[in-house]
Amino acid sequence: MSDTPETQTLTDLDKLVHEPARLMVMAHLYVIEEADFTFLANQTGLTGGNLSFHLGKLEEAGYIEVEKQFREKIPCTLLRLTRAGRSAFNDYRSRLTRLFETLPE
Amino acid sequence: MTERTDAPDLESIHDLQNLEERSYRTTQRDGLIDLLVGLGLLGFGLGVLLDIPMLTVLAPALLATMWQPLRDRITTPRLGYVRFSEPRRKRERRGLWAVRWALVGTVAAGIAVWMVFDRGGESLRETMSGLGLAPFALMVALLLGVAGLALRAPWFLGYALLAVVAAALVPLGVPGEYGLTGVGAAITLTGLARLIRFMRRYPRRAAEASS
Repeated sequence: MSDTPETQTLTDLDKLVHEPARLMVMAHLYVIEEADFTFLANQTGLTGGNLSFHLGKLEEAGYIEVEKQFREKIPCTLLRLTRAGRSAFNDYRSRLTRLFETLPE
Repeated sequence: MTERTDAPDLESIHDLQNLEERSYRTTQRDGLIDLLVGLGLLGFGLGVLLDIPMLTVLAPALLATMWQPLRDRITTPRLGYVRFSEPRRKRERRGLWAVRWALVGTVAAGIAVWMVFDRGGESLRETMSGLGLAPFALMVALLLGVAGLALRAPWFLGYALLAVVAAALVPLGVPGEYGLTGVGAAITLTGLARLIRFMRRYPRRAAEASS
């Protein structure tokens, strides 16, 4: 790959956010304040195991906050985007927008 | 377990406003509000038809208090819990207040109509008796219309139109109580259909996976 500004933007993309399932999770969490695991699984269409895997990755990176609770004796996992997660998502979006703007028609 | 296919495609997640709107719409899919409004109207209509004043008054009042407990029992375990952004919650609160004020206005208008009827002359009484429940049906239509606009539930405008039709049928000889019972039955059936579709689409998850 030649080192043009466009390809540089592409290689600079946050790989953690760029993964489609995680991008979906982050986008959904970006537009709300918080949600539980069930809501996120329904909205993203991901299976429980798959969602758990990606949430683990995002939590590890400090992009999401996971809070375990009990609601009427039923376990509930509350999820919200952290400040770092919001900033990473915003950065990803602006990089991608810039990339598409520089592409020829 | 296979992945669900009704998830938004990746392209749509770049339009965040649309994504938020879609998320919000899913919380309105349960049909519970339709079901309760429909049953309330049905109760009112049947109360008038069968001459059971308690049913007329109590059914709508009782059903109004059941929405949140039913949502907690049916909707949240299936759809999950979500807290939307502050601007969205503010819009929702404003919408609910608009519905409450419309309800107060409707009740006040109802009392005013009754007082005019009670204190009016013979000719006025005759005219108003001929109208039957048509004014009430129009008030219901107004309330449903306000609810549709304030809560961004456009299908409620369809219900309002049904109530207008019920009012318009009174001068043609169809008693208002029949019209309102019919409207109540139609809304109840629609709500039930929406609820069944919702429960099929979002089955209760046995145990929550954790990250």
